[in-house]
Amino acid sequence: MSRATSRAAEDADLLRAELWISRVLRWGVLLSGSVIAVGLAARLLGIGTVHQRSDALIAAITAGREIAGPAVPTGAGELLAGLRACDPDVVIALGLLLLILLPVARVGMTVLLFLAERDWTYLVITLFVFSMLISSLLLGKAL
Amino acid sequence: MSKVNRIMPVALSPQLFELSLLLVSVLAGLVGALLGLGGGVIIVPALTLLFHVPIRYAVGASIVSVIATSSGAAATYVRDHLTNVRVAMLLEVATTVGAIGGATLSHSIPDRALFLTFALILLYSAGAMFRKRRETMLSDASAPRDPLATRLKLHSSYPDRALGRDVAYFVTGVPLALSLMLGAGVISGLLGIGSGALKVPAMDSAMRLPIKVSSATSNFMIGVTAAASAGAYYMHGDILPLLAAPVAIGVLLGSWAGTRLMTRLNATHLRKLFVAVLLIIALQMGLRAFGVNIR
Repeated sequence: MSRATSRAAEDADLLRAELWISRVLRWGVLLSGSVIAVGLAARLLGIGTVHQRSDALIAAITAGREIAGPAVPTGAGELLAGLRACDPDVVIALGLLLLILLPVARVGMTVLLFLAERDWTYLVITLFVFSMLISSLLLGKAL
Repeated sequence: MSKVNRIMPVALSPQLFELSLLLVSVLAGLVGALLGLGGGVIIVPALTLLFHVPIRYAVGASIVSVIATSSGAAATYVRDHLTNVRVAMLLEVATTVGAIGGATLSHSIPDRALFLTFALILLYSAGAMFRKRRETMLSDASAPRDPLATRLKLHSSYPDRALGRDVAYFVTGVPLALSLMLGAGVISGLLGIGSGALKVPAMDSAMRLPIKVSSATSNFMIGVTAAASAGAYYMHGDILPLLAAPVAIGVLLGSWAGTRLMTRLNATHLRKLFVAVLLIIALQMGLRAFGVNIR
């Protein structure tokens, strides 16, 4: 019986911590959504410098054609350079990247949670998921 | 440039183009939330069939919006104590591996195969929506516990508001659930959808989770699964800012509104209407697979 009670308490702790993480994530979604909106507004109002004009780009993709090269800068250096040049696409890209990294952060925080709980089985499980998320970023570059 | 403009079917100004994308995405998010589907099932056909965008850009834009809706809503499901965090983490092992596989596969198979797979998934979703979900047969409480599930501490309980008490449930079928989730992950990564329609039945029937728990746990997992393929799509350069930005914002706004409307709306009639809509989209996506374009 006492084992069952401690399991229930453990579950409740886990849920409480995940609730906190979820709330942080919700703010993250709001933040990334705002960054994306700012970048999009700048793009449409013609603020900043862009590599390719919006009308030409839209004309190409709505004709079903793929554009040459990657759609967004992916390296940290390129992103920083784009930001310094006030490229609205880079602002949007940063917002999108933040959004993509939110679940990665969730899993990262859960890894720490299981480490603190000394739950080795789930530490290994969450570490595996975390490493999959990181390797997907590396894999995309190599594809 | 003038040559490009002649190819374009309808010359929309960039502002109008972005606005129409935004509106379509709001609608997709709204309908997705009302029906418990993700927005992706609607976004990808809308972008490819209405806006004639290459499917890999449509998938890239859609998968980002899937992360946005799942991460935005997770707090609600966790708060109601319906999510089984351990089940979610365990199954994410399979869904993330599958999603990475799906994202890799999508770059090596022809577009036609993507359209065909999408059409089949739409048919399946329409069927799943048409069938009324029956209450899961919960495992017999007196039966011997599944040793693997016990070792992984998956058994739990959830507060049932209708009964006014906590209901304990016992999990089984871990290996089967893991393999089904691998498949759900592949589909999610390949098509840019949350594939909750595949995750929920796997948890209902293989693991014997109560319906409310499997729905909440599936929603919790969708963001992490989507991040696994979105990372690959982003780094490969398939996420176009001009497409992904209005889609992410639109779906987010739409699903936010949809979740609030849901409590006040009877979705049964909407559901029947939408089965018909899904079937029409499935037909069009299927036709695209065979090279027929309806403009």
